[in-house]
Parts: sequence; structure tokens; C-alpha cells
Amino acid sequence: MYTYIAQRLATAVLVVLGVVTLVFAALHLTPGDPIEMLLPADAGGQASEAFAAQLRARYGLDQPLPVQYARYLANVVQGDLGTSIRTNRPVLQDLVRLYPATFELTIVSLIIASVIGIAAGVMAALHRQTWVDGVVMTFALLGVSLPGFVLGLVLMLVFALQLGWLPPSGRVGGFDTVEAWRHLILPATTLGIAASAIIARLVRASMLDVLKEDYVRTARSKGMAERRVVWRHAFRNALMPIVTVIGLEFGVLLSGAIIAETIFSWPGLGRYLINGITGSDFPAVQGAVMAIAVTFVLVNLLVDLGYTLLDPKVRLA
Amino acid sequence: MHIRSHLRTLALTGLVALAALAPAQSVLNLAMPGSAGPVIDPHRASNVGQYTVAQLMADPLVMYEDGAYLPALAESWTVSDDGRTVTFMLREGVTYHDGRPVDADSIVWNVERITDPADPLVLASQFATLEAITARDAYVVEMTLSGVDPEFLLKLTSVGMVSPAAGEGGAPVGAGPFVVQEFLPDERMTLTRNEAYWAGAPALETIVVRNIPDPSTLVLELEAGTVDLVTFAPLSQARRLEAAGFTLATFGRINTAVLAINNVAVSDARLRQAICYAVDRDVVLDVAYAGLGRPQTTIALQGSWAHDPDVTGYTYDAERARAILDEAGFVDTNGDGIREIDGRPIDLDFQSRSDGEWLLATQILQQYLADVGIGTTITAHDSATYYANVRTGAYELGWWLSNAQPEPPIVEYVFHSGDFWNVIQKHRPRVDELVMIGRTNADQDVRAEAYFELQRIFADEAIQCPLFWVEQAHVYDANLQGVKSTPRGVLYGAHAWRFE
Repeated sequence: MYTYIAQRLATAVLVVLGVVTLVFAALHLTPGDPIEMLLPADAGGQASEAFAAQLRARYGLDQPLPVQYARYLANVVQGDLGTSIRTNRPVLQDLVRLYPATFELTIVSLIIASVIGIAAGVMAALHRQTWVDGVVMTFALLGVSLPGFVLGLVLMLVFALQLGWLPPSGRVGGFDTVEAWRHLILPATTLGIAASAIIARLVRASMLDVLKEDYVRTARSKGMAERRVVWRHAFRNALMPIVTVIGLEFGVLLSGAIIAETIFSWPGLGRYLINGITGSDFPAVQGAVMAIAVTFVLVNLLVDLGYTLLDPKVRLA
Repeated sequence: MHIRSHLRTLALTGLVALAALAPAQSVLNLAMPGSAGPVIDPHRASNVGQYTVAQLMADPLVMYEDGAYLPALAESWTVSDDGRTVTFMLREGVTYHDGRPVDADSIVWNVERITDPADPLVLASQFATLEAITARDAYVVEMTLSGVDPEFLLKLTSVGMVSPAAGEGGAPVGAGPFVVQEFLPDERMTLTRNEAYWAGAPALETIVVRNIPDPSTLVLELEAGTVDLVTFAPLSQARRLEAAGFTLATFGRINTAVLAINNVAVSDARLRQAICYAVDRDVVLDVAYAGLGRPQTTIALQGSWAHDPDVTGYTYDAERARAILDEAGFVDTNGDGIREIDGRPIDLDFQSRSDGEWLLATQILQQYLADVGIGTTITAHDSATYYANVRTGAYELGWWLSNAQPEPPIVEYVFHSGDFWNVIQKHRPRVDELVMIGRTNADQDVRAEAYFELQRIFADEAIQCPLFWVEQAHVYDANLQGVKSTPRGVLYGAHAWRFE
């Protein structure tokens, strides 16, 4: 078990290194100069040229690419993710500040997605080829195909503007106040609905497979209550692929947060990333991508470890 | 039972919130669009929205209003005969929010901080002509310039002064009408009124500044009443919001919109002239910019001292564009509607930013150009790539908006071959000379003459096609009064803002 975890962590380091390298290459090989974004367009005059050169030197952007890359890696190993060109703060400090916002949004939307997805999927499976199944699957199809920014704006229009129940955007932070939850509901639901659709489809398929199994028939023929058959025997066995997909969905939600955070003015990693990309803020983009990659790898490690709890047949070596 | 008690809590919270808002509103919720939220350090502000926030917390030496300079931290000032020495007499008894006096030493410290060669701030460009600064007396500051800089005072209006405590590791605090209470980067900034403000205590108690990047969300927040003032409202929504009862405050000529032409790549002046005649400015203005602006025919502001009334410039005349092209021998021989030059169809690389109104404007222009037989291929980029391409000449045509200062009333800072943003690319010694006369001469008549000649050269050569001055808009609650905006869109005079 511990050897397995160690192996997985070693792979995780390689994955993150790969991601960092790709992002570094993508950022530096595409056109766009972060320094130009800093200069006021009306600064004018020859002064700007000298000033730009000064700034470039300050952020090390005047060095050849391999040198910049080696420097960056060396700094990352020492826990220094560089200074954001846009905010002029250490990237690590920004990430630490913004991470909780994205994490709480992702976790809450994952819970929403799982609860809706599992309930809808089980219901559809149990009422296969009835109107219940039809309605659930239609909504699932809609949920998958509706872009997050459209859904987000529709929810905002209805619940913030028309009904006035919830604030349109912004964040209070934490889970301990009513205001914090009121701000969290819309973005988390927007994110959660798309993911719940995918989970619902999978739960339905997985449940249908399991319900055909012999042990389910046996359980029923023993005269066991249907509810017990469904949840104890069928659902538990249908869970394996579902847990895998929920782990993967976490990654999807993290990337979905990029759009949701922009629409809902949610100060998290996603928005930081978008701002970084539009401003060619290399250190910020690299840092944010790294944080997302690390989270994704760790969550999937946890999912794999979770298999052993769900299925005693799985042994990790 | 549980749900019911939660609902009751929710309802009570709502009522309490409503009750707090019931008397004349004293909290202003201000929202900024775009990706850059407010910054805590006024010296690090680098866009117009951030300048607005900087003005809330830190006052500059002088302010600019309707063509005149007004005293702020400097009560008065004198300019020497040769125009190179400006002496400021500071208002006595004014303190920064941390209690330190606004004295000559602190002003010198501010300027030295901004221009520190080891850590230059963006604002350093405002002091490019400053040679020396000295504290002549406890409340007298003298600035010596390397040459005449007619716009030096204007540049100072965007420099908010902060307490030297910032140099000792403290958070930068200014002497402005509002004091920063809480700052959560990218989230919000809360400011409360400075009771000791030199021009009197502000009417508003609190200003909450939020950054809302999505334009649709911004409008929705305004309509939901959770935001009272939106700086730089999305133009596509401006008219609708006005009709819905909000105040639409337009401010002028923040941007001049031009069809930028790479004069090295598009070297034939006849082709450039045809391009300038081919486009209908009014249509682009109405469709892409909600009609907020006015057509621009030359590089100077019509009716201003820099404008040569004899230069008519370019207006929409498709027939004339076709005639110029025909005469030049650029004709369509294969009947595909696009003219050929030396047997090859004209296909200009037309670049645009992919966001906002930029792409729409570019597409309209493309149609007008195609109409007279000039083929183009549009490539849309993120803003960073787009600016880099245009700046370095990796483009042929570009839809270009420039920020303009109120003075001089002419777009000149992108034409000098040594300029950072020299979008026209081609070096014309006479243009450089004229721009420098305009920038460094104290005599307005001499400057006007240089600018007149510049306009003639631009019109003859069709160096680029001026299209219109774009106005921008702030949109706010109709009850909010006293909001003023500089021509660039920086909001100021916050001590007099109030709800009625």
C-alpha cells in the first residue's frame, strides 16, 4: 500500500513537471509580451522603450528561453513560483489566497453533482423505459450540452434579478455564514448541473448492468425488501465506475471553474488563470496550472485508494 | 421545522439589510469591468479604473477640469519664464491617512519612489522629462525639467501622493477623500470617508469597490441594485440601461479609433487613400459602438487649436475609392470582385482583438473594403498577441484604438518612429521632426503650425485612416449625484459624491 502511494506520488511529480514544461513552452512560443500589457498605451515617447527594457530585465524576460526555463524550475523546486507580473505579488502568495475559493466552489459543486446525478441515475435505471427515464435522460442531455456561461447567466437572471433571492455574483468566503452560502449557491449549481448530467448517465448504465446480475435476482427471490436490494446489493456494486468518474469530474469541475469564476466574479484560481493568460502573466499562469494539476493528481490518487474501501477484491501493491 | 427556522433567519437577515439601507444611502457599490481589479498602491495603478480607485485614496498635486488645472495638494504653482522650472506651494496642515504631514520632503520621496531606477513603476513614464526635484522649503517643491513639456501638469494629475510610511514597509496610504479599510486583492476593497479631508468630509460613508470581469454580470448586478456605479459600462448595453432609468455619463475622446495601416507593408499611398475613402464611419460607430462618439476625419480634434480647418481629410466615398484604384491600375481582371495588383489578388492581413466591439468593427470594415474590391483576411487574437503584432509590424491592417490625453488635442504619440507604439512602422523624418516640435515647444502657435503640417502630410499620404473619437460611458444609479469624470474616464471629486 505504502509502496503504491510512493510510486503514485513519484508519477505525480512527473505529470506536474510535464504540465509545467508544456505550459512554459506554450506561453513563451506564442506571441504576446507581458511588459507591453503593463505600459499605459498613452505613455508615448522614447522613454517607454527604455522603460520596457528595464522591466523586462527585472522579470528576467530578457534571457534566452532555456535559461528562463532552467531558472524557473530551480526556483519552483525551492518553493518560489516567481512574482506575478500583473499583481506584482509572489505567485505562491496569490495561489494560497485564491485556492480556498476555488476549492470550496469545486467541492460544493461536486456534492451537488453527485447527489443530483446519483439520485437521477438510480431513478432512471429503476424506471427504465418509462416516462421517468425519458425525463431524467432528457435533462441529462441538456445538462451536458448547455454551456456553463449560458446556464450561469440564466440562473443569475432568474434567481438574482427576477426573484431577488440570491446575490448575482461575488464571494463572501467560508461556510459559516448565511451570506457566504447565498453567494455560493449559484456558481456551485451552475458547475454542478453539467457534472451531474454526466454522473446520472453513468449511474443509470452502471445500475442497469448490475440489476441484471444473478446476485440481485437471488436477493429478490429471497424476498428481500426492494429498497434493500437496490441500495445494498445493486448500488454498492455499481459504485466502482461511478467513483472513478466522480474523481475525473473533479478535474472537469476545476477547469469549469475558470468560466464560472469569471461569470460569478469569484476570486479563485480560474479567474486568476484567465487574467494571467490575457495579460501574458507567465509566472501566474504557470503557478495556477501547476496548482490545478497537483490537485487533480492528488484527488485521483485518493479515488484509487478509495477502491480498496469499496471493493475488498482490489489490493494495491 | 428546521427548514422553516432557516427561512426565518434568511428573511430576518434580509429585513435587517433592507432596514440598514432605508435612510439616504451612504454606501456606494462601485464595480470595475475587465481583468484588473483595484490595486492598493496608487503608484502601481496602470489602467483607468485603477486610477479611479487611486484617486479615492490619494490626491495628486493638481487636478484637471474642463481645460484648466485646479489646485489639490498644491495650493498654487508657478512656471519659470523658460518653462523648465515648476514650483509648487503645498497646502499646509494636510496629513496623509497615517497622520504624517503632506510636506515638501514627502512629495520628493514620492517622485523618487516612482522613478527609482532599481524598481521603476509604470508611472515613471510621467516623469520622463523631469531632471531634478528639490524641497525648497517645508511646503515648497521645485521640479526642473530637461526641456519644455507642455503636458507636464497633466501628467501630474495621475500621480496620487502617498505617505512615506510605504517605504518603511507600511501599506501605501494617501491624503485622499477615502481611507482603505479592507483590501482583498481580486475580490473587493472597502474604503471609508476621511473625516479630515482638506476639502471637507465626504458625503458618502463607505465605498465598496469590486472587480466584475464579465460584462453581462456587470449589467445584471447594476439592474439587481447590488452595484450602484459601473465604470466603463459595456457599450452594447449602454443605451438600454439609459432607457431603464440609469444615468449614462459619457466622456469624450478617451479613445480614438483608427484603421491602422502598416505603411511598410502597404507601401502604395493610392491603395491607402482608397482604403480611407472606402469605409463608412457612421455605420461602424452606430453598429459597434452604440453611436457613442463622433466621426474623425483628421488626426486632430475638430474645432480645437491643433486642428487645421483647411484639411478636410477622408469621409465615406466609395466611388472615389474605386476611381483611385482604377486609375492606379488595380483592377479586377478575373471577375471575382477582388482587384489584383501585378496579377495577384489584393489580400491584406487584417488583424483585430477578439474581444468586445473590436471584432465586430473589423468585420464591418472588411465588408466596406470588399465592396470596392480590396480583399482582406481577418485574424483575431487575444489582446497581448494583437498588440505585439501591431507594434512590431507583423500586420498589414489593424483596427486600433488609442487612449488619448485631453492635451494636446491631436493623436501624435504613435507616429514618431522612436515611439513605443509606432504602429505605422515607416520612418518619415519630417513627421518625427514635427511631432517633436509639438511635444517640446512652449509656444502654442508654433505647436499648432507643426500639427497643421502633420495633418496635411497624414491626409496626403493617407498614413492611417482616422475613423472616429470613441466615447465611453459610466452608468450609475440615477440618485447618485456629483460624479465627475476626466476626459480619460478617471472618476474624481469623490468627496462630493452623494445619493439624493
